[in-house]
Formats: sequence, structure tokens, C-alpha cells
Amino acid sequence: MKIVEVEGLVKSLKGKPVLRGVSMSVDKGSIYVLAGPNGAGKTTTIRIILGLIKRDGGRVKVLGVDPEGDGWDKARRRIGYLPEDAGVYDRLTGFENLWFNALLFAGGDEILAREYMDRGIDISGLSREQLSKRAGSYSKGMKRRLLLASALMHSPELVVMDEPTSGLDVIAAYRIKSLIREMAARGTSFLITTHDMLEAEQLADKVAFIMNGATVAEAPPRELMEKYGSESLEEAFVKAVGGVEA
Amino acid sequence: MRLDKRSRIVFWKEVRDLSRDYRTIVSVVLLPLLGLPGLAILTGALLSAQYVEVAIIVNDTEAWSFAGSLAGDIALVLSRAGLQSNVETYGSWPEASVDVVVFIPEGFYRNITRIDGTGTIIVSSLIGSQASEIAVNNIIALLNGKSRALVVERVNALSERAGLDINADNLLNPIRVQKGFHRATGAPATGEEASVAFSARILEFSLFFVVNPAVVFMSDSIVGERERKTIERLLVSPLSRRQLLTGKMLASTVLGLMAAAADGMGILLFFLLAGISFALSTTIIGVWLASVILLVLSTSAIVSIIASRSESIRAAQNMSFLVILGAMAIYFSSLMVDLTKLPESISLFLQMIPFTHAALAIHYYALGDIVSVAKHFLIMTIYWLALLLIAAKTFNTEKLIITKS
Repeated sequence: MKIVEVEGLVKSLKGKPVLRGVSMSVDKGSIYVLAGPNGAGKTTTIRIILGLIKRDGGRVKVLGVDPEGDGWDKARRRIGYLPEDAGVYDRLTGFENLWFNALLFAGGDEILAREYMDRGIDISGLSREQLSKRAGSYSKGMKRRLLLASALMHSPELVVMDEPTSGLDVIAAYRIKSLIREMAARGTSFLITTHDMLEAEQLADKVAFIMNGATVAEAPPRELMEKYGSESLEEAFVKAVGGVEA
Repeated sequence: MRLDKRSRIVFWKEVRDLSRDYRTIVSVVLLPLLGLPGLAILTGALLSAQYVEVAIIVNDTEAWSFAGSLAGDIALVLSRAGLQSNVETYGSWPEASVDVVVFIPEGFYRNITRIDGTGTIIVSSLIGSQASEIAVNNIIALLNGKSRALVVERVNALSERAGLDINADNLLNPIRVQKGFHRATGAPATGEEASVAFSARILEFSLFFVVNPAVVFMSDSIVGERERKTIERLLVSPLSRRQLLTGKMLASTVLGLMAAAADGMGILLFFLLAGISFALSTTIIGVWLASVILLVLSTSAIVSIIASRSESIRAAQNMSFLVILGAMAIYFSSLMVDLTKLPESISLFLQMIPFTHAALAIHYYALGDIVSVAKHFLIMTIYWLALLLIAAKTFNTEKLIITKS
């Protein structure tokens, strides 16, 4: 079953073409990694997939719904999103940040929100004492854990993460990757962007190489490495985009 | 309109966040509450600290006694007016610089002691000196009083000579004027009611100060979400654009009400300290608060439309103020202009601006016209709902996310 289907996605921003034909599909319960260098169009692709910006051309279906069509408001409840370099509400405590998110996804149902909250606290790995403090006093890693908990607390069917481990220390990054694998094993679908090919190789069930706004190749990491006769995904990427100017 | 749960959640978050934004609270609440009365106290203190030098130049040898008595009276009158003064009499123009000159020319005394004579006194103020002008006005009022006392003396002397019983006051004021008040219906109104109507004008004026915090809050609330990098998650949450904006607008009314209460009290204290009294009832305050809420909601909706297209908080605020400033002039002019007495063409134009209805609701309440109050509240509510729908429909997430902060 396809959770995300994208075909021939085209988008220009301020008159400059950013996407020239991105195609991809995410299977249920899989980890799909959109890998490419900075400026390749990864973030624009996921923003279109999430209905944050409009496409100029192509077809998009997320959880069976077009993000620019009817039913998207309801579909969003089944999605978790962790943007790159996202912020928290600094004047709210960690608890309040989580509670706000829990209430939003529970539609104001406090019993359900408490359930989400308990899961969020667990995912964050932050102590009650830490969560009682204002989020503005948190380190970057703690903020990222709070955001991760907010994105996952409502057990979404699809989780979209833009550079989830960017700027994190080794332990924090490992923790996030372990959590992604655990949740995927339980049936959650992941769409992750990264410029780190090692991370893509470690995590992905399927990888799409994206370069200059177009999908260059799409397959499980092992197949891509075999296809390009490479020992690593990084090498496969370089071979795949060979001749394509950045 | 039923407030849905997600709007309430956004409202909760915004109010919680706002309650910890001490800088905003201090600037919105404490500054006007302490600043405006402080301004009145400071102005009063500075006024009473002003010092004026008064010179009475006597060119009439017979008028020295009159001049001596006048000097004492001038010192007393200026002291009552809150001015510090030094009043001296001279036989010629003094060498030192003086603020006020009272010149008594030759023949003055002889003329005022004749039954039909007129004596002239020249009172001159130092140009560019406000204290001199205040002093001169008080001295002229004192001299008018003395002139009137002389007339009474002359009338009494003449009536005695003619053997007539004449009341000098009646002779001087053959027509007496009594001021009264009436309502729009024609029924007589009390002085208390007139006082309420005057207070209503001050309340209309106070709306001027409510718009500012609403613009600042709403710009920060929308563009600030982008600058603090929280907007994307919010837009991917199950919140609809309308729920998001409604929650933020309602939070904006909390700040607006705080600002209104602080500004309103500050203005009232300012006028009270300036010696102007008020008559306020619970109902007129209720009407005013309802006007404030609707005004803040409409302002927030206008700012939302602008903010989602702005590159920065400052750009959103500047553009919002540019759009709203003209409309805000209504509140300023309502201190002096009766908005209900304008020609129909101007009135219709003004009523196309939502802000006008907030002032008109208060104005009509003071006139006792409850139907018009309800009508203007209804118009404002319709304006707000229409603006909210436009804001939600035109909420430009792409521009909001892509624009460089």
C-alpha cells in the first residue's frame, strides 16, 4: 500500500525552477529517504507533500488525499512532522509545549491528549524536572527531543522528517535513528530527507537520489549500490549524479 | 458563533505565552497606567514651578496707592493660578528683564474716579513665554473684575443722587442665560447625563490606544511564528487556518482589553488630575469593553491579512499601521467632532470603515439610543467575520514560509 505517491513534481520559486520532475512512492511501514545535497529540492518536495506550498505541476497523494484538495485538514491528523531547524515555544515549559501539541492532535479530548502526552514524555527522554522548565532554557539537543516527541506522540501513520539528525551529537542522533526503526517495525511510514548518505544507508528501506530538483534514482540502498557498482551509498550517489552539475 | 476546541487550544497557548512576556505586559499595561497620570502630575508640577516677574510701571503720581493694592491682588491671583511670581512697582521702565508689564499712564486715576471716565491700563506679555500669557490672562480677568466693581460703585452713586432704588447687578445683566440639556427625544436631561455623554467622548478617544497593541501582538503572533521557526509544525497540525487565526485573534483581545483598561484608566486619571471630572456607569463601561473586543478582533483580522504576506514583524507592523492609521483618526477626532452630525456623504464613507462603529456604539449609548448601539455592534461583528473569512481564505502559507526572515 502506498502512503505517499508523487509523480513529476514541478515547482518554481521566485521565478527560478526548484523542482523539475520529482517522482517517488513511500510504502506503508517503510523508511523512505530522500537523499541529496543542500539545495537539491528535498525540503521543497516535502513542503509540497505536506501542503505547505503549492505545486506548479505533477501529482501528489498522501494517505490517499491530495494536499491541495478536500480532506487534507483531516488527513493532517495522521501525519507527524519534524522540520529541519524547527523551534519550540520558548516561554512555555517542556510540558506545556507537549500539552499544546497533544491537545491539537487530540482535538481537545483531554483523555486522549493525556495518552499522547505520556507517550510524548516517554519519547522525549526528558526528565519531569527538565520538562517543568521553560523550553527557552533547553540545549539544542533537548529542544530537538521535545520536537521529536511532538511529532511522534500521536502515533501518526506517516512521519515526515527534514534532516532529523542535523546538528545533533552522536548519541542523540543514534537515539533518533533507533526510534525510527522501532516505529517503522510497528507499521509507521517514514519519509526522511538527508544529505548524509551514511545515514540514508543505515536507515532506508528505499532511497531516492535527488539532484537539481529531479529524482535521479530510486531503489533500496543495496540495489542502488549494486546498480552503480559501489561499495557505499555515497559512492553510488556520486556515480548516479555523475555528469549532473550541481 | 461557537468557538471550536482547536481555536480554544491556540488561545490557551497564546495567553500562556503572553502571560510570560513581561516586557509586553509592562509596556502595554504599566506604562499607560503610570505614565499618563505621571504626565499630568509632572505637567502640573512644572506649571506651578514657573516663575514670572511682573512690573507695574506707574506714570500717574495719583495712582501709586491703586498700584500698590493692584500689586498685592496680582500676586494673589497668580498664586491661585499656580504660578510663582514677583510683583514690583516702578516709576519708570525697569532695567531688568520682566515677563509682564502693567503700565498705568498719566491721568488714569483721575479718569476712573470721574463718574463717566475711562482709565486705560496696558498689560503686556513677553513674546514666546507661555507663563507670561497665563499671567496676563489672569491679570486681565482681575482688572475686568475691578472695572465691574467700579461700575457697581458708579451705578450706586448715580441711583443715590437720582433717589432711585437700582440693583446694579440687574442693570449690568439685563439678560441672564441658564444652560440646560436635553435628550435626542426632546426630553430634558440632567447634568449627570450630560456628564456621561462627555465621558463617552473620552472613552471613544481611548479606543485610539487599543489598536496599537493589537497590531503589535498579531504581527508578532503570525510572523513571529515563522521567525521562531514554529510555523511549519503548526500548519501541518490538524488546525485549520480559520481555527489558527481565531485562536490568535481571541488572544489578541486579551492584550487589547488589558491595554484598553490600562489606557482608559490612565486617560481618566490624566483628566481627573487636570481637574476634569467624569460620570461613568457600569453599563457604559460594558459598552466600551464590547467595543474594545470587536475593535481588537477587526484590527487583528486586518493585520492577519497583511502579516501572512510580510517579510518581517516590523514590515507587518509598518504596513498594518499604514492601513489602519487613517481609520484611527476617527477616535482622535471623536474628542472634538460629533460623528452623528456629519453630512450623509461623509457619514456613509466613515461607516464603511469598521473602526467607526466602535466609536458610534459608545456615542449612541451616551445619547440613550440602545437600538443604534446594537446596530453598530452587529455591523462590527459582521465586519470582523467577513475579515476573518478573507484572512483565512487568503492566508498565504507559501509566502509565510518561503519569505526570508
